[in-house]
Amino acid sequence: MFAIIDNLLPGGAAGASSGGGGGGSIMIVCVAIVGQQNNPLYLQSFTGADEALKFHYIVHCSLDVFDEKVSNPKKAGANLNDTFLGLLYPTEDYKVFGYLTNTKIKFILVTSDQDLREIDLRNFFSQFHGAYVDAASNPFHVPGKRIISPAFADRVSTIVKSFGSTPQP
Amino acid sequence: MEDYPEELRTPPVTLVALVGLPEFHSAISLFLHTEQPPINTLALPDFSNVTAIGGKERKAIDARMPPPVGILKADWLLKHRTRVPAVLAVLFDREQVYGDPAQWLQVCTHLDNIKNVIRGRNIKLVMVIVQPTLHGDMNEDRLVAFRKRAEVDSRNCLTFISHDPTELKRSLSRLGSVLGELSTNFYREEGRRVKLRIDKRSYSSLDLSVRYNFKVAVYAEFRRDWVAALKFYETAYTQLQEVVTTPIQLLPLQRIIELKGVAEQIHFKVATLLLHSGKESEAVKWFKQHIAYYKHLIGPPDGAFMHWAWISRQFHVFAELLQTSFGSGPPTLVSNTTLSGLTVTDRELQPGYYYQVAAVYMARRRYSFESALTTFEAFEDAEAADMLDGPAEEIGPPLYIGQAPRLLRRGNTLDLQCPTPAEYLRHAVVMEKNYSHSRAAINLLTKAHEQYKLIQASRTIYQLGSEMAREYFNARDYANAKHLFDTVAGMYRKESWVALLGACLGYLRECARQLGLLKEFVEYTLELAALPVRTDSNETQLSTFTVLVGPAGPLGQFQRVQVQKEIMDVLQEKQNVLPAREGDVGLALSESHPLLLEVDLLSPLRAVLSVCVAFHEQTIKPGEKTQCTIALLTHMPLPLMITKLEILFNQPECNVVLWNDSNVDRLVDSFQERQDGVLKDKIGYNLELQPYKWKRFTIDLIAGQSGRLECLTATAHIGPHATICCQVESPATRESIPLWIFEPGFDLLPFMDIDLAFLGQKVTQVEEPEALIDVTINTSSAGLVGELFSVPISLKSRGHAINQGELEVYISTYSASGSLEAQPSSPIDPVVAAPAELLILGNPRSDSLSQTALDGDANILQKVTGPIKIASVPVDQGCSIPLYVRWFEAQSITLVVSLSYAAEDSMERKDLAPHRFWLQRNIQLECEEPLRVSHHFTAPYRRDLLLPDSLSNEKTSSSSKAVVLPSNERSMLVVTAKNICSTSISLLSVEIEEKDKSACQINIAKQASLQAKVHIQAGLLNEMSSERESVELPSKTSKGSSVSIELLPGETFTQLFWVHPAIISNSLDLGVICCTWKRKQEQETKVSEEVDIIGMKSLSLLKEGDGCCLDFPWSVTSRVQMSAVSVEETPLVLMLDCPPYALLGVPFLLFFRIHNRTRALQEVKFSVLDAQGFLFSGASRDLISVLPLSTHIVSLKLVPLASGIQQLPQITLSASRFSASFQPSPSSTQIFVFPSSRALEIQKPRFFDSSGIIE
Repeated sequence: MFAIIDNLLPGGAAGASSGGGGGGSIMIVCVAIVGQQNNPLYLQSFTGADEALKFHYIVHCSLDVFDEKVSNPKKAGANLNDTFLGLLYPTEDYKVFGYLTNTKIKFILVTSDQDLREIDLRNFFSQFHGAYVDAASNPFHVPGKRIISPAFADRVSTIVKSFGSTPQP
Repeated sequence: MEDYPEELRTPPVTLVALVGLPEFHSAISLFLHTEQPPINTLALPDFSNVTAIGGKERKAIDARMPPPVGILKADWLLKHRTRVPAVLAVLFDREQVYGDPAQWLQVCTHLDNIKNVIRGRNIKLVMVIVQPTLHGDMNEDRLVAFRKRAEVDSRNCLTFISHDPTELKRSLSRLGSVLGELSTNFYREEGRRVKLRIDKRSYSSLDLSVRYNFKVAVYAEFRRDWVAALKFYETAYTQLQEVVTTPIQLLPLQRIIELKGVAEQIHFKVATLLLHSGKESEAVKWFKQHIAYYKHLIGPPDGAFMHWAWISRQFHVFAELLQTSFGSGPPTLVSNTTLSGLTVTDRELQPGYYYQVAAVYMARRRYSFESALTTFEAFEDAEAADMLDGPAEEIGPPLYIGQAPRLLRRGNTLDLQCPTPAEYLRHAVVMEKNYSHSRAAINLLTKAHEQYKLIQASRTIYQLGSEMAREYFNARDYANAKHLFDTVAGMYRKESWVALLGACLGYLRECARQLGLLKEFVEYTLELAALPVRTDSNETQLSTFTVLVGPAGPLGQFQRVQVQKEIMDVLQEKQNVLPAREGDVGLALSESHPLLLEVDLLSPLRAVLSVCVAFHEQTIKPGEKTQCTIALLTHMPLPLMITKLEILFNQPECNVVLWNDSNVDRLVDSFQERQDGVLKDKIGYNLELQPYKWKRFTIDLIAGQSGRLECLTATAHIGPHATICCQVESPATRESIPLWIFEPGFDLLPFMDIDLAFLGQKVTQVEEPEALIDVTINTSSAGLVGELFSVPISLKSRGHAINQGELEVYISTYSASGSLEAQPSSPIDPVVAAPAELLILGNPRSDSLSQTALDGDANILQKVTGPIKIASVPVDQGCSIPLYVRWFEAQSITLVVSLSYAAEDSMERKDLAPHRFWLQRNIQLECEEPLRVSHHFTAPYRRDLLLPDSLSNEKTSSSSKAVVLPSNERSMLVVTAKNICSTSISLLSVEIEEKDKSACQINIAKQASLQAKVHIQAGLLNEMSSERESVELPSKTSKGSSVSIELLPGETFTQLFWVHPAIISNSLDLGVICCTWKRKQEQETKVSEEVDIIGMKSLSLLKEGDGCCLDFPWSVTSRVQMSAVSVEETPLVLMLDCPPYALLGVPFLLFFRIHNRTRALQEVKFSVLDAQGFLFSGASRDLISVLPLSTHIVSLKLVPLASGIQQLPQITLSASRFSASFQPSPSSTQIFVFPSSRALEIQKPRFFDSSGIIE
């Protein structure tokens, strides 16, 4: 028999604690880039390593919502030409936001924060997209393959850290 | 939701009671039930039953309420729905009311009783006096007294007509409306009464506040005031949250359970009302708040499983509410992207989501319970009885919602009846033990799956699948778990989600172990170890695992290494697989249980071992050595040791075995066994594969058979009884094989050589062995149309004896595009006629061509149909096929000759199928037209005929110039045959085949001339007309000449004929010109010398015999159809009569004879033009009349003034009758003037002498 540690389920102490943590708390718990073939290009979670797999599941399931939004744009509302798709779906503890480029690269943000400003999200995604474009432009990067560049990872974590620092309008 | 009592699930319905006259109760009940809104009826058949609806005395509004022992009474709702009517309808017969005093007294008694019963309850009263018809006496005084006694006003005292259908209906509806109105009043008043209590706050406990608000809401629901009901439910819910003021940890477990039970019910009511009023988003938000608030009220850890059960139930019930509310599908919600907390996404309206979360909490409930059970079993007495599990008379149902059952034996007060916390927990644990968590979770997941299927959320479905599989795994249903995980793993493999796949594989491996499937266990383990994860994180060294991550632990380099070490030990039989159950020895490989893993091109195990093979050459010769490179790659984290590697080809004699150099000792034994086998053993290879590094070996091969040589599989022996059979790949097609194509650096080039790496193939073509037979096609020059052109094919053996040879010969033409267009000689396509045909001497079907040449049918030329058989030709000998081509038109053709045969030596080996050799030759054959035959007609010399039609034809249309011949006059036909080919031709005869002798006679003229135009190679083209002596041959027929003349290229032969048409015709077919010719035979002898076979010899002999006894014509007749001529009568003939020559200065006479051949007088105008070389005397112009059938002669006397060829004066005639004029051609009016008679003596022009034209 195996001993089972029950800390990965929704609503666990880990999920609750990751959201709060003082003024400099990281609201973003996971960011991901998914390629055209729905293959993960980059996935980084900012909680404990034990939780990483949960975000794999969350990000993978969010691809369904991308498909829904793309195949049924009427439901998606007025933002037909908008790359920012807004809230894809909430899980119990997290909110999943999506961003779809013209080349069908999907950017996904999982956040534990319940109250977010759209401007922050748009700002984040555009920075994230820019970082991806730079990484993909690297001559040593093979397009369509997983991104392993540490410089990119550094840049993403900088973007994640600066998330929400836009002054209130 | 099914667990909830009926009264909670459905909206409350007004309840009224009927008493008295039970025969009418059913009819009234039925009617009230179908009313809108419906009213439920409590029928009390007898007045003695009335006490049932009575209740205890109510306390005053402002009375102080003691703190309650519970929040909501368990049976309160049920009581109001089934036992406490809003209105009591009392039915009396009119006889009773208006009858004798005794009856009246009884009525009064009943009324008093009823009033007593309902006093404390505020139940409304309706008096119904039943009478059969409308008619009947009424005692007004009695009625007033009755109403007074009953304390009802006149509106509530009805007369009920029972036996008149129309009136009955009216009475029923009147009763219904009165009951409805009164009941609404009742519930409103009840609500107000309770509300007053809230307002007065005559209680200290918040519990009561919750209770009262709940009651007000229920009363509002009774009167269908949903808005008010919702408001009070919400207030009740909010008040309930205020109840929990003390820290949750300090509250006893039973209290927490009670609070949550109440919250659950109130929330259920709120959610139902919100959903029914179409406020889905409100409901969702309400639910979210509900969960957010209560999720953390876990309470004591022992009872945590009850909390999770409660949470799971909330989700489950809400999912069901959503599902029933939306029916087929969720409403189309136009979501906006505003991020305020008020937005609800589509997914949150999806019942599947709530089912899924419910399942997650169900799992959580199980874990909590499992840990609680462990504690329980450790510290509690397992044998202690469950006090709450007893017979119904000992265990009472809970009095308040959310409370525990009561132990009735302990006393009469609730405090005594209440179980102790230990008893309560014990009961809960015992009950939970019997609960199948996994089954419940799987059911929830199945429901979620059905819901997600509707919106085609495939990935979510896969996630559900893995959750379901984990539940099966927990429930130890490994077969189902494995099946589901297999499906899910496929999806993650396809989309390259390594981490998710790793988790699946961990479970799959464990399932296979539990099921005792060794092969699967190894496969999953190897795939897990070969997953493309190269990061090494510190967290991976956890000794435990979480539910999501699975039994294999978190995926990382460390774990992969561990996994590989384990599995390699198993494969090398150093240890067994960990046993699934105690007492087992675990799975192990042995001689009786060997393991063969087959890795095809799509298998995920390609990451474990992929083999790439490339031949260095695309085509190889049989029997010659070639090289082939084998590259092996593993993505396992540790080096992979292969003891030996078998490489199998489609030609078994090429198969090789490579042995690792450390296994040389073992090799010695097996080498003996393999001596006669097909495998070739090679030793001294280092077969240890380093991770992510291609290992390459180059081996030499000698292909035995021709055709395809393909490397099929490579079998790697890893352990004594473990092999991996790997289908090999071509480097050129590797990219199309999907395996972790999105992983950077995963796929490395298998070969250093770029050409091999990108273009190498695992297949090579082994060429056919060379045929040792020479096939030569002998031709010298171009062929001529129509002739039998000899193309002998000679076969000469250079080492192979031909056996059962077949020679296929066919003609193909060059099409416009330049591609060969095969036109087999047989069967001849009737549509596209071949430009030539193939003929052969003798019977091509017979077995031996050379033999049949001697036979009787040897001389028969036959068309070639099908293959020509060649029986046998011994080594170093040859044979020849006498083949002929006959062209139908001048077109170049390609003669394709293909020979197939079986070599004599291969026939001797009976075990092998005789190998047939095949070779093909082709040659292009040109063809030329031999002769150009032309003809034209001329009139006789110096005899001009007036042909009026031809003149008119000339005028009208110059294009259609049909030749006009005069009837009954001889005209001359000049036939010219020119040799236009490049070889000399013997012209044998030029003949005319007449069409109709009676219409036109054609006779040969005497002359036959040969004009040759010789091209001189000086570059100048001189044309000289050389006259040759005409050859007069004995004419066999009168219609032509048999000349047998040799025409060199460019030479022309002319033959003259007299044409004498007898009839007048517009279109007279004269016949066909037949030129018989043959090639100037110069190559005959050459051929006969060269070819030394009997058939050809006889042929050449025959040819030398001048063709007289040949069955086939060596001479060829070219036939040219002459165009039709028109024949008409000529009215006037002009003949020029003059001496054959003249002498300078000597006068002579020139006569123009104008002959009128008609039977009419012809007026002819003539004029004579002066000529330079002559002086003449005579009439120069005149109009003359020529009598019928007579001749008029115009005579001129001329004196030549110049010598040489001179133009005579020309005459122009105009026949007025025909309005035609004509002039003889200048060429016929010339004369040669000799300077003196002496010159005449020297050169006597023979031509003129022999001329028979001028008569």
